Amino acid sequence: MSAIRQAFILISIYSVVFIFCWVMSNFFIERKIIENIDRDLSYDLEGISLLWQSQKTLALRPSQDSYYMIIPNPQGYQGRIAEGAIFPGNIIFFPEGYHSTNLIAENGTPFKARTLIRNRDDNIYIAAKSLETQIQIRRTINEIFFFSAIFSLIFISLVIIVVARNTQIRISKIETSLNFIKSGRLKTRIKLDGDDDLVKVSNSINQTTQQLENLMGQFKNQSANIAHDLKTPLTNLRLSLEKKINTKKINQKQIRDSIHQIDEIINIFDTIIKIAKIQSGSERKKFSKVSLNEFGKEIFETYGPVIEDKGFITSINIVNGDKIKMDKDLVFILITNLIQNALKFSKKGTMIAFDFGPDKILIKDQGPGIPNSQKNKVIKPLYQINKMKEEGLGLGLAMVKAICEIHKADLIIKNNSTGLVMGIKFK
Amino acid sequence: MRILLLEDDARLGPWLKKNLTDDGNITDLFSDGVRAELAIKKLNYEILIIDRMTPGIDGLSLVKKIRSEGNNIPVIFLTALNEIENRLEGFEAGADDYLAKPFSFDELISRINAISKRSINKKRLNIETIKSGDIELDLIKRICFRQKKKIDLNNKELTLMEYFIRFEGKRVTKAMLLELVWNINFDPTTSIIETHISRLRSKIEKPFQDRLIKTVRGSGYVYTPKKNI
Repeated sequence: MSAIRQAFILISIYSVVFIFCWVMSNFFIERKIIENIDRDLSYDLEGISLLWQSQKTLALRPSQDSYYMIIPNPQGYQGRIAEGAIFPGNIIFFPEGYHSTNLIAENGTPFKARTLIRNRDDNIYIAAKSLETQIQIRRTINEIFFFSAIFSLIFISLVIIVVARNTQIRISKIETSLNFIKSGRLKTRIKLDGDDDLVKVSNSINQTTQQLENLMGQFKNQSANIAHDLKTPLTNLRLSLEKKINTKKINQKQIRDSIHQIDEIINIFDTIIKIAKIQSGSERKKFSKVSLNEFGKEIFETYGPVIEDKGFITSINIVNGDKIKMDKDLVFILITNLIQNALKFSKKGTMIAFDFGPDKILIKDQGPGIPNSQKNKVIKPLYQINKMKEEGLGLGLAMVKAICEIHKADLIIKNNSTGLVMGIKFK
Repeated sequence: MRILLLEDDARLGPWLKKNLTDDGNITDLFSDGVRAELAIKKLNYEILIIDRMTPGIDGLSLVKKIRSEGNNIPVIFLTALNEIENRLEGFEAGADDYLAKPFSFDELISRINAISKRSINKKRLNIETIKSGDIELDLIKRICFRQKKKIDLNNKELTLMEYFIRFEGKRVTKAMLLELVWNINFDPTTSIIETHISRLRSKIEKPFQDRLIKTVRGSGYVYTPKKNI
């Protein structure tokens, strides 16, 4: 439903509610007026009956809108004594009680009146009050209601239509942008001014589109890189198998090399799938509180000897702190990747040191570090600073970044005076 | 050894059957879980090799079912589902081992030998001390003795030694050791196994000038105990 249509529905609902209130107000005002008049008539009738019985007169506190009539002993005396107005001739046949009747003023003008008729001591007493003042008040109230209704309806309609039109324009902008996005133009962003709910929705859509654009960009890059990176081992494999066809004697080493190359290709796929799974969040299932103290000892027990055997010096510094909520298996993978990096880029005989706690895990090496211009690039999948010189797939740091993201932790890449510091800082 | 193989892949199933048979086993191949279940009830298999996703009854349900009926034949799952949660599901269903595709045939054979009934020396399981030749491990105090002399092994080295003893005479692959000792289900590409075995050897073999842990090139290690002096 468009905002304009919603506006018309709101205006219609407002009009119906206003008319209902108007009718109900009229009803209650009239009822209250009649109640008051009927009470006054009752007092007046008591007064004229007492006067008539004692003084045979109707001269009771003359007022502009009160009228009286007595028909003494209607069977024996047919005369009427009236004061202030001419009562209708057939009033003698009216039943006892209150009636709304028309009277005629002394100047001959008819007017509406409320009448009370009582039979008492063989006389018929009639008291009447003009309703003209009340009618005038009611008319004034109705006029006020009418002008209020017209004014408020026009004002509210204008406001609603302006707001609805504005909303409609903003919704149309969102719709147009979404159609652009749907057609594949992922750079499209919704631009709305203000700070209302539509702006919040637009910001969320923009963030989602940005994420989608990033993922699509990564996907495109990865697809191209995967295709490129798989071609090399596949070419090697193909060439070695081709050679085997022409060799009568099977060379065990060549077969082993071929299997090794197949394993490398499988490893590329496994790692890419693992990164994709971590990035999608489907891995977020095994978070538990881990003591970095214990974890650090375990890591050092496993990797300390490996690092030493490869000709490096190693040390660990553990700072006690609270337990950290993490997926231990994923953080183990993260540390493994950082150690591989340190081993790959540092010179033998240098130090590879571990820092565990209170809220971070750092691996410090004495290698060449990462140029600042490359820091954002090295965490992209399949990126290598120097492809000719490097071993590996260029997936390790992409995996490290994905693991940091799933932990909502910061990835630390810092060059210091002695080398590179890499790690994870939990929040 | 009589092996039941449940694998619905038209190329992998027959290939595995042929090679398992060539390796000296009697292998019955099934491509359907319902038929495999009937065979398990009728024949006395020593090991079940089961693909997780099969027609009829899937492998996971089949293993749960036979375990609920009190059957404790060793089971190895073969599967393309290699995430940790998939592995946990497999172990929770009652599998004894889990091998992700693609795998090497040597790895499969090593795992069959490691978990088959005849390879498990039951008297050694779940006890405080295990002995093998002239080596004795106190699993509670985490101490190792060889020829009554105390050998200073760290925790990981002692766990490595424990698994070598449990699988004595059988080939243990690097992947198996990574899973058993370090609980690692990925290829760390660093030489964790080689380093720790080298250190274990330097402590357990070098002072006694002999070789208990032999390297099987490209596929793993075999521990053979030296007879008690």
